[in-house]
Amino acid sequence: MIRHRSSTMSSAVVLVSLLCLLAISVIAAHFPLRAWSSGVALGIAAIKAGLVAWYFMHLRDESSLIRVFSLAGVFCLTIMLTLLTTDYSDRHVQRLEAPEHDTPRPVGQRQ
Amino acid sequence: MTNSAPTPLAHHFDNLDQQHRAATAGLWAFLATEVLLFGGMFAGYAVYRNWYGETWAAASHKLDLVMGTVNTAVLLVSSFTMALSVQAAEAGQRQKVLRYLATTIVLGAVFLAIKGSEYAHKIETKLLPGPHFHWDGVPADQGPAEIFFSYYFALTGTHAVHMVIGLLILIVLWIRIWRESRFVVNGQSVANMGLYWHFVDVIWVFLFPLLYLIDRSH
Amino acid sequence: MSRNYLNADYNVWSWLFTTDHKRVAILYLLSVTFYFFIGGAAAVLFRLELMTPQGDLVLPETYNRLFTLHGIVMIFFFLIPAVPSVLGNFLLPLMIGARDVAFPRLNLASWYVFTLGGLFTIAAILAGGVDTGWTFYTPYSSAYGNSNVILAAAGVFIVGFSSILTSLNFLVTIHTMRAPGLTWFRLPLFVWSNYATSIIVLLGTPVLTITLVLIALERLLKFPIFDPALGGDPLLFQHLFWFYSHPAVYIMVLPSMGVVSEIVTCFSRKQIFGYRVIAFASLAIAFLGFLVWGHHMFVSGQSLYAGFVFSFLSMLVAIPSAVKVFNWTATLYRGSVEWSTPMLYALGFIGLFTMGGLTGLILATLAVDVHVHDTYFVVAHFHYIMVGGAVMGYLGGIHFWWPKITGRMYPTSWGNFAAILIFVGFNLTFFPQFLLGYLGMPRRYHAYPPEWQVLNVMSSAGASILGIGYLLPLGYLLWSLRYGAAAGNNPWHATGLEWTTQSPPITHNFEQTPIVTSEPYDYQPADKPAPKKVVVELERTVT
Repeated sequence: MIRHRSSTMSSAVVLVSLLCLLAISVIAAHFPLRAWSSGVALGIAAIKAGLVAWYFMHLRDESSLIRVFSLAGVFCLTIMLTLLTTDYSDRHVQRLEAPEHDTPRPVGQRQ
Repeated sequence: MTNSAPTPLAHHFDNLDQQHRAATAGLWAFLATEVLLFGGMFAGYAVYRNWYGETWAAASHKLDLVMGTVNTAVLLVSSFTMALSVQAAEAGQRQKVLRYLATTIVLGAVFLAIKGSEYAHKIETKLLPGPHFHWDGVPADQGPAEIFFSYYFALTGTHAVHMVIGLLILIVLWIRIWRESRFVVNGQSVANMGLYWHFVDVIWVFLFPLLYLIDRSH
Repeated sequence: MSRNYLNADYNVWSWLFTTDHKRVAILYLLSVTFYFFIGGAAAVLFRLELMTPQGDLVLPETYNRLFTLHGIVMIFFFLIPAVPSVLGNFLLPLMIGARDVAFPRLNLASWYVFTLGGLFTIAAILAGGVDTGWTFYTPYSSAYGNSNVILAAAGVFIVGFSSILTSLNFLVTIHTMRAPGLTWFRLPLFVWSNYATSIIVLLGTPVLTITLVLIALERLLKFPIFDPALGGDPLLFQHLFWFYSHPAVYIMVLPSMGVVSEIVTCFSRKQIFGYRVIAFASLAIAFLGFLVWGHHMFVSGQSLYAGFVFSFLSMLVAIPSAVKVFNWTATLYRGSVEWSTPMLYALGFIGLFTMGGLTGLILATLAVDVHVHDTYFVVAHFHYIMVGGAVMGYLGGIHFWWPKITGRMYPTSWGNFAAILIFVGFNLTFFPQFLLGYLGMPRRYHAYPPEWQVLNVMSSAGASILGIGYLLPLGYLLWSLRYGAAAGNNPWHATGLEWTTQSPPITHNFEQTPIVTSEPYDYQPADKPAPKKVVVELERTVT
């Protein structure tokens, strides 16, 4: 069995950092950051995810193969989101004018 | 007082190191597929949030921020106790493994209980998408708001299913370690379980700001 | 016969609870053969309907259910699992000198998951079928279609997990279980192509899985996720669906490309041309495959810029694909080509895949696609890839490794006859469809104007020849199990670790873990091939 570098103390430090980041993200959401708000929220989430992966999931002790595996899904998701923007950046939604709940809805009409 | 029996070697591996590398690689590859499972929903989330930003902010404010924050903290602490279980298993400390795993199980159950009460409240206030959905804001926002809650339930629901599966495996694992008369702690299964549990935690770390924290400034 | 994986144990449970990758492969072989003929039967029915311009054999509703059944069964239950789950499962550990795959129990589990998904699909068929097309487009699938969408989607949802399990196994097995000396660039190209395929399966399949879940939520619980009436976007469904389903085409064809690489080099008696380039081309196809899905949506209403980007990216896939075709051709050049049954299939693959690929370029051209979109031109194109490519490769592989799998040789004259019959039947079936599509005949209609009858009759006639061609191997391969000559360990004088062990292999594959010291495909051009007996005896002394 391969031992990983970890101790109760180091894990506790990671936990405290995670909880602090949680507090920061909740507080930050109440500031009028406008366009930056989702960027800040996701950035903090990414740091939290990184801490969990690096320390709790022992990514720092793993081979480069495992590190590649850990990023493969994220990489593929990035491809999807990037190529989706080629469509959605130029397609604009038309807001519905009338309340829709009075008109008959196709959903649930037939099974 | 530590004592650990070696992990049994399966017939088709040459040595324990090979077996360990295979298990770890397999688990991480599985987690990569999980990223894309949630990724399919993140993509739709991004599209609609982009289209219906204001409505989605209003809909997001209907979620209970206190419960969401508490639940995030609960899950983060459970990740911490899970990490301690893995550490104890590697050191062969059976009692500690049992104690930390039990704490993790309890915290996971607390998370699901809080999530359940949130669901119940949403259903009560007619925020479950479907024929009974009712939006008390601008009527034209009914549709986009309903889509927000569709994503809320789909994302948190899929996450909750992962939590339930994780809890079931944790309970089975706990019973197996508890019933072993000798000090056999299968470090590999605890470590694998740990990876899965932390991953489910990481998913929540993203779900929380995406769903609960859309522009709370007003 | 000596002790081997087939006669190690005879009772039923020893098969149903086996963790031997070779037995799991046999279980898959039986399953995918079953589904192949189910899907084929549906094709026979609608080709019969299309013999006449009027819709006179089946109702329009029935016709819709037939082509949906054909698509779902052939794609998810035959083409995607065929080469990896049958040939890959059997050969991958043998080729890399391992005793089994990394997770043998998961491997067995994948077959059970596959079977469960199959039961759902069969239930959907028996309950009256499903009429959405295999593509499950919204809002038809989520709101209007009144057939068994949920049952069919559940079948596809479940079967996705079985391909994920198989691919997970392959990926980890290739990474961690290679024999000593078997470096990455000594791996057989079949292993490389299955490696690339596994990456696509692992990263693509979960997107389809979750998309089917969203469809189910919309249909069952009325979540308006893709509902345009409430501000949802049906095109989002198409994006998510094709994000998996376009790479799925490479899931089907890449493993067959691996088979062709093995066969072409063996029966040219020449080292394969450009080994590393072919290996990297597999990875390039896997990567580029994720960048092109939007070419299925050129006329769907996606933005013009998306169409432009996807059109350009789609062209790029042609590069690694063409690289492979050129490398196989260069391998043939000045080789001592032997017209064996597997080689006929491999040559068929090269020709038909090239046709399919080149017509793919026509379709990837934005402006041309607007003209031929959703016509028989598209149908013909993807059948040249999937049937002319993937199925030819699968059958070639079955004929190549049949002696290894069963220890028996099939009658080669019958084998050659069937291969040629399939090639002829295939072209007669699908070439007229290019013309029909170019003339404007839309796909998925049960009736058509009378001026298209001649081409449709040609296509149906070809389909019946093709059908007979597919039944022939079923007959003579089963016959060979009992009456075929003993094949010997290496009837083709091929290189590769799988040929160094006995036929059929023993349960743990090798008496001793092999040590690899040479480069792959160390074929010598043989002016005078050694008589078979001598070679077999020589190998006995080696093993």
